[in-house]
Amino acid sequence: MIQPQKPISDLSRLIKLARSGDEDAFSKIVNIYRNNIIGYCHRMIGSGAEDMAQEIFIKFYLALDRFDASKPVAPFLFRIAHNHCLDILKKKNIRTISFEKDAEDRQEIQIKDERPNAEDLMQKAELQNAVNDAMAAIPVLYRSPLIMWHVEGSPYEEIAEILELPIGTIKAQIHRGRKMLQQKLMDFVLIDGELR
Amino acid sequence: MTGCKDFQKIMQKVLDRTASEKERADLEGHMTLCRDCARKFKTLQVSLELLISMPVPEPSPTFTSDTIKKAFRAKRDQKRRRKIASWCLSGLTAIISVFIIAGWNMVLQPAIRNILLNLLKIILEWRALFNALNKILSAMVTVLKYLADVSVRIIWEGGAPIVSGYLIALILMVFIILMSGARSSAFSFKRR
Repeated sequence: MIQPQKPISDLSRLIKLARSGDEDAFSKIVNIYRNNIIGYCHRMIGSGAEDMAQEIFIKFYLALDRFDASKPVAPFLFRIAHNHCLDILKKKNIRTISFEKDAEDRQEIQIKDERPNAEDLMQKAELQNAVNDAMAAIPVLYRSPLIMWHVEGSPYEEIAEILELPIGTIKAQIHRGRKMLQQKLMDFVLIDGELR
Repeated sequence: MTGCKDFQKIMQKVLDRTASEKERADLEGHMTLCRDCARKFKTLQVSLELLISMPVPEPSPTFTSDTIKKAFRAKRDQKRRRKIASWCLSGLTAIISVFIIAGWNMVLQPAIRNILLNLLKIILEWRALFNALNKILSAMVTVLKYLADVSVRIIWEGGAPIVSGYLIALILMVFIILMSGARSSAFSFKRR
């Protein structure tokens, strides 16, 4: 589960203040969730995650009037994020996602990284690319609960609430997503369990 | 539980964080013997680790302030749009109300009157048709009545000799038939 730095009572107070037009309160909420939302968008769509996250927060702010402040923010925000990602995928008719920008970022990270084992880094970068490609090839149906469960650490109940699906279906989707990921990455792991 | 398929189920349970200590120990024991299962589990672990540690772009320093600005502008636009929509709706309601109230006299009443007049016209047209039919029938009746009158008058006035002549002719014919029958039977008797 996304662990907000503030307890729910504080968050509900922030929500109420933001709803009444308090900029500071809303900026605090944005700061709490921005990394999670950018990460989710990046894993779901690929490049352009920051712009998407910005649009999601705008939608969230516009929808604050109908949000029950006593409830947790994360499921509501993630539902908006999920629907936004689906809209973008539908609009652009994207079947595969691009991590080009991310690859550039990664290169920068590698240059800055001064660890001695360059070969190991190359291996990891290659595998990371393979994971990106594999994720891109996984249908959105499985990709989304897989990210929510493994990356965001959301419980099944919360994922079911966000995606408006039964818990059993969520579990099955996560299992299938994992199997797909496994099938696509089998060639990168050697028989003895070491990375190729 | 011995098959690789069963251990693959345990792998999923481990990743679901629902596997018991015993199941974990069994899986680890199995993986020391089965390299294929070890490879599968390692693939899952590594790929999920990489998914979690996937480098995500850091938000720009102005991300929050830009978002706030855009969100508040969007809210103002939304409020303005709602205000315009509510004005449009009120205007539309007022126009419809005016039409409903004044329209009864201006629009609706003449319309109903026209409909009623048209209905009346149709009924009158049908009546005219009925009248025409009635006239034809009455004319036919008159003609028939006249013919009947004429025939009765002919029978009563000048038809008595005809009727009596007809009756006499009928009696004569019956007499002739009877006589001819009697004669033929007498003739045949004589021959015998």
